[in-house]
Amino acid sequence: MTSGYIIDCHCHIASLEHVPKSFIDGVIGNVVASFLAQGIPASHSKISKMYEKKMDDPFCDDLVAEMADAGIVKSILLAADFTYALKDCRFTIEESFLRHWDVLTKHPGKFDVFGGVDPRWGHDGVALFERALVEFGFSGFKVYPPCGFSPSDPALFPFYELCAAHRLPVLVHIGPTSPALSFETCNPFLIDVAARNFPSVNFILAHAAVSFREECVMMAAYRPNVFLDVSGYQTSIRNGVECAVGGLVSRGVDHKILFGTDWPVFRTQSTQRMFVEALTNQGGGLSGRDETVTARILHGNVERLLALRRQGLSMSASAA
Amino acid sequence: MTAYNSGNDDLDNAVIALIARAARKKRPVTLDLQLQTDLGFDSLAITALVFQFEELLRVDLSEIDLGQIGQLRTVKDALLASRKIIELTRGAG
Repeated sequence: MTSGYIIDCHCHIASLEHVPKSFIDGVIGNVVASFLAQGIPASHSKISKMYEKKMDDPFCDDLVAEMADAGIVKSILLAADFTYALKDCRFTIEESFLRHWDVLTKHPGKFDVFGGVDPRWGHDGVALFERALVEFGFSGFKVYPPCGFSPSDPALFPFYELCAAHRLPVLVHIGPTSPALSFETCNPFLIDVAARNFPSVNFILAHAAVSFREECVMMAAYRPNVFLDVSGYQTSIRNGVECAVGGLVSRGVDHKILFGTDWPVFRTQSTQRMFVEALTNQGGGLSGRDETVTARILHGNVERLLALRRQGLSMSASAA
Repeated sequence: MTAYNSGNDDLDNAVIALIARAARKKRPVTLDLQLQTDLGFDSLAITALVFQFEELLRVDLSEIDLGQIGQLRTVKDALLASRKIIELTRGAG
């Protein structure tokens, strides 16, 4: 176990209420195809049952217990908005936000929430996001480009303006995902226009240890307000985490890398504690590193981003 | 069809052989090896292993608590879990 504490910058509520059925069916379809090709007896309905079982923590009680066991003091919950692109989600995006607010209230101090709104909802969407910041206490914006828009789409600029005003970070999904969605808009270079136009907003490219690694490193190295999260590194365990995460850390952008697990996606694979150990123990991407580098990645970098908001709030309070 | 009993050497050997075949990192399988870091089991490989267990043990694991699967750390843990599954199915049968 690592010394010091950990902040997980990439988690989701484990509940099917927030994810459209067509999204899940697409993911399962890929798994079934892979298993059948290997001669492994698998059916869509069986994998679907397994998927349902890992999504049974709607108020994050299990997650809080796993965090305590792993030394994770806080996790950021991301509320992606699939509801404009896919019409079979149980919750509307407003209902999803309200549930995230319930979780914040139930587990004080354990979570921050980044809320996502599809820009095609227009003024209503902007109003909902502003309400989430002011009334629900959300701490950032989540963008999911595979829903069919570039992260630099001008329709997102009102959201980025709010983030600039409130000093909040934006987390952007990178890479392919469920085949129910588009992969055209999942490239990290697509963030460049927004990052240039909003230099005071910090953009976090998610899954940089998994997808478009080279492009993500370039963006983080040359664009001051672009950061990377390593969530999903668990997929690299078969080839060695050292290669995936260590490869990023060695590129001189360790001041821009944030720890993340993508809970509950890898819940069948192992526990949050074991995922932390896979990074920090011998052979992990963070083992043998300078302690200050490890501390930056496990908590310091994301704390710096989250602290901007608190500084802004305290400045507003002293001005009033 | 093989009739396995919990604690049966045949069962243990069959489970170890299954793990050895499914491992992403090929090496001699011993009880103390970690499934994830030593043998390279990722979430897909673990799911595949569950289906192969079903076939081997002739049981339905679709109701299994996935939290417990995530807790399997070592080859020994997997062996103990398979023995427990056999005991449960015998009890239910």
